[in-house]
Amino acid sequence: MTPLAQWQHDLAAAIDGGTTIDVALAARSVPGLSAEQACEVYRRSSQGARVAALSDVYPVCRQLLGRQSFDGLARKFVRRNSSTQPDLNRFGDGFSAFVDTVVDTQKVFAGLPWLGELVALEWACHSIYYADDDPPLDLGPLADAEPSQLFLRPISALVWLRTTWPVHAIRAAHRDGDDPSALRIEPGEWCLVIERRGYEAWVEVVDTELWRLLDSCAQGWDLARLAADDSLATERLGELIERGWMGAVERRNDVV
Amino acid sequence: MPPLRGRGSVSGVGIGLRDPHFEQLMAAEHGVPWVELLADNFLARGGLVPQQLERIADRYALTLHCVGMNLGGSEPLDLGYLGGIRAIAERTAPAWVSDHLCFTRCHGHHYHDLLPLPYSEESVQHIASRIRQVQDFLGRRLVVENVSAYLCADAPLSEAEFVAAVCDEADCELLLDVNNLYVNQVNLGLDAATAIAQVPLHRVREVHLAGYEDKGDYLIDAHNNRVSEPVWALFRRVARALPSAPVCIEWDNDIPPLDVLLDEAQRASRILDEAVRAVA
Repeated sequence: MTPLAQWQHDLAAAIDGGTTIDVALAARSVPGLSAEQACEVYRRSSQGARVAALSDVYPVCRQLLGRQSFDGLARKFVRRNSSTQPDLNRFGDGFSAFVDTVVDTQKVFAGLPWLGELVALEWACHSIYYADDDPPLDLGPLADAEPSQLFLRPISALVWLRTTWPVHAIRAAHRDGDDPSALRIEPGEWCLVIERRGYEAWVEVVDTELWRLLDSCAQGWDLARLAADDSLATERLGELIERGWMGAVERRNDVV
Repeated sequence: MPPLRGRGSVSGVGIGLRDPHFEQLMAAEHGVPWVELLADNFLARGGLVPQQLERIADRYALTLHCVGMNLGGSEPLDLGYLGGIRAIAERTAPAWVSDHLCFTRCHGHHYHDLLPLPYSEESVQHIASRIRQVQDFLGRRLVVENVSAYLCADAPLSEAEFVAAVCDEADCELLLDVNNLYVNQVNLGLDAATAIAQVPLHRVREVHLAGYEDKGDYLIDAHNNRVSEPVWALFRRVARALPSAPVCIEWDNDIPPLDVLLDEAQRASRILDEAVRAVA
């Protein structure tokens, strides 16, 4: 490793590693700062940027927990999850799974068994906002092709979730300024589709039949397989297209 | 879609465009001659972001400022990221594209912070080589910014010597952040005016002004305050040498109402005007 690469490795390790400072770095701080203080400056800045990003992505979660509790939770997540992309808007996937692991362990989450699902919904809405645009749907591949060669692919700006709590209503109540205490929060089953309308995320509750059809398309089922499954409402494929949820009809000639 | 073109040219005192001020600046120009876009906030290729880019580029002359090129890093350049920057540049026709003399990534982890490099010959050669690669990729000369540093390696070069050597070696231009330079010199117990005199002013394409946070024993380049009086004083020296250099007011944290930034911009403009009169 070159001296420059070693320097970068040491500094990165010091930022990541909490209070453990490499001896070589200890002699290199500016006069007014100890090496530990200097690393703490970078640690706070680096972690702070990611905590701030999570605050932007999860406003309802933050509102529910309060700033202090949310920031504490976010810092824990940030310490365990590095950012793997230069675009900070892409950071925060996985926060839902992380919340699920801590929701039963701390008092601050008491009465919020649905928090992980709410966080998953907030991430979906965020990712929709930054998703790619799709070109207009071309139905040309449908002509002269066997159903087993045809696949419908959802648009990029679409997420579909199944939840066991009415997190769509919880989110809406907190965002729209309604009285959240008027909500009846009871377990059940909801099929949600999140799409982009007018540049904003739009959450819709759909019936299970339509949701399963959409999910099967997204799983890569060809049209023949969809038609062969009696439990699927393939007669509603047109509805998926009419709603603008399908981004492409793909024809694969290698499939017989 | 054809590239968009910002109106006018990048001269005088502009501001770093931040989200809270977006609609205000789109509704009226407020006397702001140009804006600096934080390109990393505009990497999304779908939804509202491209539309925002169109609106900005249609209204303002602009520059692109980046924080993710990882120019000093030891890992390969991220061509996906650079491709995103190039696409934004093709759409908005910025006067120039800038990033920082630092590293931001290590072992695949992005730190979203500007981490310092040792002021060594090895660093000079390394970062200059990567700047040349980026310049080739973008098809334009890059403008590089000096950063604040809270850890300094035992290295033979001063900050100004390092900056000058990199600019010469890479044949790139310099974004002189007066606040960063001041913060570093004060933290090291050195004289900022002496450091300014050593900076290759002929390479300066843009000047940044921002506010630091005084922690008592040291200063932090927090970009959360008005420009401090010592930095204004240092800027006067720069302005006398570079009266026509475009200046940008940066404010990244605890962002105040737009009027505060405009007030800072007016003060910088007055200093530039004084410098022009002095030269005449």
